[in-house]
Amino acid sequence: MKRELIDRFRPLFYPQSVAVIGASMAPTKWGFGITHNIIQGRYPGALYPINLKQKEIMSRKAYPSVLDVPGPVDLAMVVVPPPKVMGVIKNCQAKKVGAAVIITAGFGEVGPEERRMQDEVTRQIRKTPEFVVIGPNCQGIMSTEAKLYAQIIFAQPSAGDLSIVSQSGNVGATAIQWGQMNRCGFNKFVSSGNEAITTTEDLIEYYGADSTTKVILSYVEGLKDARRFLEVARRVTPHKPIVMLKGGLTDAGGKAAASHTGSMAGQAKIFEGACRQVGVTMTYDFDEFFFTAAAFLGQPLPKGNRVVVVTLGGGWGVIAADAAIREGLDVIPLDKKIIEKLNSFLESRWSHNNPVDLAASEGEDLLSRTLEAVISDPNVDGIIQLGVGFGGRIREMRKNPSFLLADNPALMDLVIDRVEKRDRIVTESILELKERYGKPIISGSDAAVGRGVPGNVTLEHLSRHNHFIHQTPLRAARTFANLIRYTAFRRAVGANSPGV
Amino acid sequence: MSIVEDAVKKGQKNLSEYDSKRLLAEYGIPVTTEKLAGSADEAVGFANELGYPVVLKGCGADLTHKTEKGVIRVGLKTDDEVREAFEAINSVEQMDGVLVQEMVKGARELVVGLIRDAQFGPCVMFGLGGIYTEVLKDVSFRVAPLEERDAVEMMGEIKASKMLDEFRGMAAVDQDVMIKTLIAMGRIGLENDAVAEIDVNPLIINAEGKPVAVDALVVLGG
Repeated sequence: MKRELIDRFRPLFYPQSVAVIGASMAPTKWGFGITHNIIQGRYPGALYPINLKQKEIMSRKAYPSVLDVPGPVDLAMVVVPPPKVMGVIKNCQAKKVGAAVIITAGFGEVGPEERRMQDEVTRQIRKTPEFVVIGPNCQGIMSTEAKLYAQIIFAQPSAGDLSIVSQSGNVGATAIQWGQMNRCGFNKFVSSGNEAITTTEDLIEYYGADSTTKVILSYVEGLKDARRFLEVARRVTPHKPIVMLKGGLTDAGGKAAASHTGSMAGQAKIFEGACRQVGVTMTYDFDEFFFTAAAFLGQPLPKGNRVVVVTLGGGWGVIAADAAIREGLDVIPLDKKIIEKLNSFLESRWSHNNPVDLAASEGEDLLSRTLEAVISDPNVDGIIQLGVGFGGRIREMRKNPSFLLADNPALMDLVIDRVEKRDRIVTESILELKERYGKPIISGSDAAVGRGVPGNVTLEHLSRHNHFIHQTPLRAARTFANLIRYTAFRRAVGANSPGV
Repeated sequence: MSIVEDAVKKGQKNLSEYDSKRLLAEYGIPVTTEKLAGSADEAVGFANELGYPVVLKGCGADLTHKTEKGVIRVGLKTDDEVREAFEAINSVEQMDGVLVQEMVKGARELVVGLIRDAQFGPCVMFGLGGIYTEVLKDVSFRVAPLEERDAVEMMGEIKASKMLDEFRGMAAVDQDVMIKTLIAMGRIGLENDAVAEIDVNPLIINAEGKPVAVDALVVLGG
């Protein structure tokens, strides 16, 4: 079954040949954008623009129909107007195309007449049940391993382990952007559109079986077959996290219900209950959606909810502790043994409590020694670590001519070297301690705000190791809580494989 | 199930409280001991069988908003009180009869329900019951069929979950019975397409932790 699933989706995600049906030289047309993006993404396979009139498009030989293409066609990108789609689908079936992405809009999402047209096309597609079809009305797909960037947004995220299926093109695009801003790579991306044939559930099932996908992100507004979604999710979540964002949780308008139960059955509560039942991690806003998935990539799963906050700044520490408690974490009192250890090397003005505030103690390895002292304690399940990446930021700031020491570059180099050395020690220790103790360290820092990761050598280094920095303490606490809930689910269903 | 099929055949929109509880009882959900009386004499006879105090309630498939209509009398201690209550209730409107019911005492009131969600199908609801149910909406849902883990987790999710533990000198609620009840509610939905919604409110937990469904409404349709 799994083998069949992988084989069936291969032409979609690992095509050796792609036809863009409706390819165009007119820059305002989507037939131009899709073709252009595939080429710019350096797709290594055979690319066939299909256009009734042009003999050549972007230096590639063009054909009037997919039937005229000399070799096989694995994947067809369909960018023709709605009335032409039926003819194109029939040609693809005759050509034995394995998968198609119907970018074309103006189908079932518009009105009943268009819906009828979509149903006709759907019926035709179902005559070849192995035919994987995405859309209609979608933005395209990406498969970084295959260097296939067949979608309308010009974006080339780096390769990674996150795979996405999004029912909204723009939400999908935002996820890609956030990935780029945080230097987090993706594996596969599908903007699934109207889901006339291939649905979110189908794609989640595939991603679950796909060995190169480690974490699944799903944005949904409506499920075509909600019970099938539950069955699929139930089989996937014990070994692979599914992080979900749902659009349309609030019930607009009144609901006529015959019973009190009926009148209280809101979309949000039912969806939440269903997700908890099958281990799907539900999130409630965009950055929780992204950062929770990113955390699953690089954080060991916490065995419990006892957390210590370690902070360079007192205010952030207090806010983090408040947020952690609100999220149901246990902000434990600091054990005597840890206090003794920290007393031996921190300045006496440190906080002597949880949150552990280093109070600007001097010494390049103080933060790393503190982290180790805390994480090595068996009563600590994880750390929220606040303040990292400032060295990288200073290097950026140095480019400003009115920056401190701008007229004394030698001294400036000295200062920056010192700060960056301290940064290096901290980042190495964060990564090493997580690995050695198998406990999460969730980081938050001002350095991640604004310009953020790109250009900050410290944060880039951490991102390369799938360690992502939250912009606020609340977000760090939220992520931590989501990791705990998922671990508790895996324990409850007896899925005890370590990590993801 | 023939209770449901019968009612559907008769064109009923709901099951009466009596029939609703018979259906729940068939699925192993604990309900009040009760009998339907057609006359004041019968009512007195049943009351003596049950033992005082008893509760009398008007009962009928279309008889809703019982409190507002004044067809509920609680804490009846003598034959005369029962007789008087029977006549008063029976004269309010057309009904199947008057329910003579054991009186259950318990400070803790829960709600258990069933709905058919358009996407997920039959879903079980659990939560804080009594008169504040719709005000506080402290409820959780799970999609049928439920497993034991689902029942346990959904009970722990409500804000008022601490009252299910040992609470103010009262015993912890019988977890086993609660789990079976929640799973059974799901089964009713899966096995009876004609059942559209179910309200069990209140499910009273007595001081010993024993849960009993004191009122129930099964809505037919679909």
